[in-house]
Amino acid sequence: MVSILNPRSRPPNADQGALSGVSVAFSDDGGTPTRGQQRPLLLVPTLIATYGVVLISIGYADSYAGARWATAVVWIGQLVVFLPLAITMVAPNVPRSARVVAVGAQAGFQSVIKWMYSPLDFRFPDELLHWRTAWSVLNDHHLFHANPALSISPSFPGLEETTAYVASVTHLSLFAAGSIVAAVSHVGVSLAAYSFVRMITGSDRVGSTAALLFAVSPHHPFFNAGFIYEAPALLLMVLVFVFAFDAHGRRPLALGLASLLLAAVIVTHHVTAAVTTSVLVLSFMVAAVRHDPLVRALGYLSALGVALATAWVAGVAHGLFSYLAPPLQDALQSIGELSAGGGGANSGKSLPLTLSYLAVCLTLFLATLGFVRVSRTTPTVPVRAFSIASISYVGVLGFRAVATSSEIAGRALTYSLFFASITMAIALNALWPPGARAVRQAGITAAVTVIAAGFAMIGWPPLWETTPGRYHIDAFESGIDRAGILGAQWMRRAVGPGHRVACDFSACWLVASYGFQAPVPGVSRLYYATTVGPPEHRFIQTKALSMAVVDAAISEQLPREPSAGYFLDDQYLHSHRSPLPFARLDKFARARGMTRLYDNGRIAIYDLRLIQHALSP
Amino acid sequence: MPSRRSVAFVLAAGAGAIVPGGAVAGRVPGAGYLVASALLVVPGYLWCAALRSCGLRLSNLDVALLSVGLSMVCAIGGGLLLNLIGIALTASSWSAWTLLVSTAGAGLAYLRLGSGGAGGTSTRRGDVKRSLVEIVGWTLVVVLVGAAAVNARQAAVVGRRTPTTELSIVLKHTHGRRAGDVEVRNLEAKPMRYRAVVTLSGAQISRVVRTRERSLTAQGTWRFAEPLPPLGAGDWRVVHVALFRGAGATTPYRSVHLVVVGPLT
Repeated sequence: MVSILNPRSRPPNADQGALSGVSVAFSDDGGTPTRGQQRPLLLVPTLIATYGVVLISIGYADSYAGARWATAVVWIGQLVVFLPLAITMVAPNVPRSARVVAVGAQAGFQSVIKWMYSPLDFRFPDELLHWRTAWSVLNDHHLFHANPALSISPSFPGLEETTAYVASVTHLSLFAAGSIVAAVSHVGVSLAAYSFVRMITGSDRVGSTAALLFAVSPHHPFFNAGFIYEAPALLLMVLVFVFAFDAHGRRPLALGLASLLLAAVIVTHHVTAAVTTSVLVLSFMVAAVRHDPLVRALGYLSALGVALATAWVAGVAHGLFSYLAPPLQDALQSIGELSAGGGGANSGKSLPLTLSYLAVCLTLFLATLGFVRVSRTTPTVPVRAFSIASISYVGVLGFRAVATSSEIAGRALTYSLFFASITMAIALNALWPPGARAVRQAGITAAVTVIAAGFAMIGWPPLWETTPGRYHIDAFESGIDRAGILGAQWMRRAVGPGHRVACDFSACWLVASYGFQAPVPGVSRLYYATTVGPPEHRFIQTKALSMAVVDAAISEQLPREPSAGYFLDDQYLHSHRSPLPFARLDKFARARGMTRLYDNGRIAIYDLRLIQHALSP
Repeated sequence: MPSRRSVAFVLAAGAGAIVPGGAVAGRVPGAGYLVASALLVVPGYLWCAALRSCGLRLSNLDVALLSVGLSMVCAIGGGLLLNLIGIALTASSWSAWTLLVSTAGAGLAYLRLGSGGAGGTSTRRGDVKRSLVEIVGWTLVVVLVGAAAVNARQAAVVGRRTPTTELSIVLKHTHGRRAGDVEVRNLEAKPMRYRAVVTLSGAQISRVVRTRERSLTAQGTWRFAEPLPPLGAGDWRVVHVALFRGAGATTPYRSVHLVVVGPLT
C-alpha cells in the first residue's frame, strides 16, 4: 500500500542526501539491503546489459553486410539491454546505488546505441540542420547568423553555443563535440529525472521507475539522444524543477539557481521553455489553492519564466510564431481524418500495431491508477501538480489519434510522458509490493517490457530503419548516404552558399546543411513534368530556382514512408504505385539551357540560372 | 563538502586542461575528449562547491548533475554575453571566459570554506573505496562498450566505402579567359584509369575537341581547364565532358555539360 506522508513527518530512514524538504515518502521500497548484497546488484545488470550493446553492435555490423537477420539480432540486443536494468529499477529491495547505476547505464547505453547507428556523421535531418547553425557559430564567431534551413534555430542557440564552445577549445569536430554534448545531456536527463522524482516522492524506487518509463517513451531513446536542441533543454528543464521545489538548504540560493537554469532553458528550446513555464504556473496555482509555503517561490519563478520568455521572443526570436504556425495549422486541419495506426510509419503491420496499442492501453491504465492513488491522498505541491500535468498524455494521445499529421503530437509525447511517468511509477510501485508472488513480479516485468516494446514500435527510428546501412530514397537517416553527402559538399565547395535549390526530401536536408544552400519546398511538379518546356521555365523563374538536385534512385525505389512522397510538399502524396520513370529525371540532361554541373553516378546537380534569368539558348 | 585543497586542485586541473587545450588538443590523440569532459564539468563543479560552501545542500548525484548543468549555463551565458559586447567567439575568448567563471566559483568556495561556511552533505569515505570486484567489473564494462563502439565504427566505415567517381564542371575565369574547369575525383578506393572526351556543340556545330587520359590513385584528383571560344551576343555553346572508366569502355561512366551563352570574350 502506498502511503503518502506529510513531508514534515518523513520516516527516519528517508534519504538525507536528497533535496527533499517538501517530499512525500513512499514506504514500500522494501528497505536497503546489506552492503554485501549491494555489490552483485550494482554490477550484474549492467554487465548483462553491456552484452546487449555488443549484440546490437553485431546486428548493425551485419546490417552493413546485408544480413537479413541483423534486425532480429538488434531487437534481441535491445531486450538484453532493457530487461536487467528495468528489473533493477522497478523491483523493490534494490539499493540506491544499484538504481542510480542502472538509470545512468540505461541512458548511457541509449546514447552509445544512437552513436553506433551513425558513428561518423550526423544523419537525422534535425541533426543536420542544427549542425549548420553550430557551424556558423564556430566559423563566423558570432551568434544569430541566419540558417535558411531551420530559421528558428539561431534564435535558440543553447545547443549550438555549447557545442561550438567544446569544439573550438578542444579542436574536436562538430560531430564529435555535438555527440558528446548530446550524450552528456541524455544521461543527465535520466539521472535528473530520477533525482527529481525521488525528491518529490521520497522514494528511490518511484524515482528509478519513473526514470525508466520516461526513458522508454517513443522519442526518447533515439530522437532525444540526438544532436537536437531538446537534448540540453530537457536536462536544464528537469534541473529547474529540482531547484524550484527545493526546500532544503537556503531558499534564495535554490531560487537563484532555478532562475539561472530557467533562463538557459528559454534560450535553448522554445517548446521546452513553454512546458517548463507552464508547469511552474500550474504548480503555483496548486500551491496558491493549498496556501502552501512554496507559493511565493513558484509565483516568482512563474513570473520570471513568462517575463523572460516574452522578452526573448520579442527581442530575439521574432520568427517563433511564423515558425510554429504552419505545423500547428497543418495538424489542426488534419483533425477529423482518423489515422489507422497512430504511428504512421509502422501502420499496417499487425504485431507492431498490437504492441503499440497494448503499450498505450497499459500506459493509460497505469497513469490513471497512479492519478487516482495520488488524488486519494494529500500529496505535496509538486506531486499534485505533476499528476495534473500527466493528464496531458490523454490530450496528446487524442490529438495523435485524430490528426493525420502526428509530428507535433509525437514531439509532445516526450513532455506528457515525463509527467505521466511519475503517476505510472506510483501505480507500479503499488502493484508490485515487496514480497509479491513470482507471478505478479513476472506480470509487472512483462507489462513494462510491453510498454517499452510498444513505444519502440511507434517511436524512432521507424521499423524499416531499425538497422543502418541500407539506402532508402527519401527517408530519414537511411536516406543520407555517401553519394548524397558528396554532392552536397561539392555544392558548397564549387558554387558557394545561398542558392535556391530544387531537391527531393533527403537531398534537401543535405543541401541545407552540408551544402549551405536554401532548399525550396513545393517543387515536385518540376520533376513530374515530362519535359522542361516553357511552363517549367516559368515555374523555375517564379520560384527563383538556381540549382536542381536529381537523385537517380527516385527512378528505382518507392518512398518508404507511407505519409510522404518523394519531395517536400509533394503533389502526389500517397499515390505512388511505381518509381518515377527514368525519363522524367533524364529530361534535365537533355533540356536546353540546363548545365549539368556534377555527376557522381547517383546524384546529378543542374544549374538553372540561365533559365531563371531567361537567357536559355 | 569539498575542502580548500580539492577546490584548488580542480581549478588547477581544469585550467591545465583548458588553457593548453587549444594548443595540444588538436594534435594529441584523445586529448580533445579529455578537455571536452573538463569543459562540461569543471566550471559547474567549482560553482557547486561555492554553493555548497554557502549552505546549499546537494547530494553527490545532484553535484554531478548540477556540474554539467551549470557548465552548460556557463557556455550558453558566456556565448550570449561575449556576443553582446562584440567579442568574437573563438577558442581564446571561450577559454578566457571559462577560466574567469571557474576562478570566480573556486575563489568563492575557497573563501567560504576558509571562513567555515555552512555544512553540507559530506562524501562518505566508504564510497570512495572500491573493492577489487567493482574495479574488475567496471573495467569489463568499459572494455565491452569499447569493443562495441569499435565494432560499430568498423561497420560504418565498411558501409561508407561505396565506390564512386565524381565528375564536375564549373565556369571559371582564368587569365582573362573563360574556361570550363573540369574535376575528376577518384573515390573508388583503388587506382583507376580514366578517359575524358570533350565535345563542343552549338547551333550548327558538334565536334570532339579533345580526348585526355589519366590514371588516378585512390582519392586522387584530376583537374583540367577546357578553354571556351569567344561568342557573340545570342550565340551559345555546350561543352560536354564524357568520362570513361578503364581501357576500351564505350559507355560513359559519368557525364557533365556546361552551357555558355554569348557575349563571351
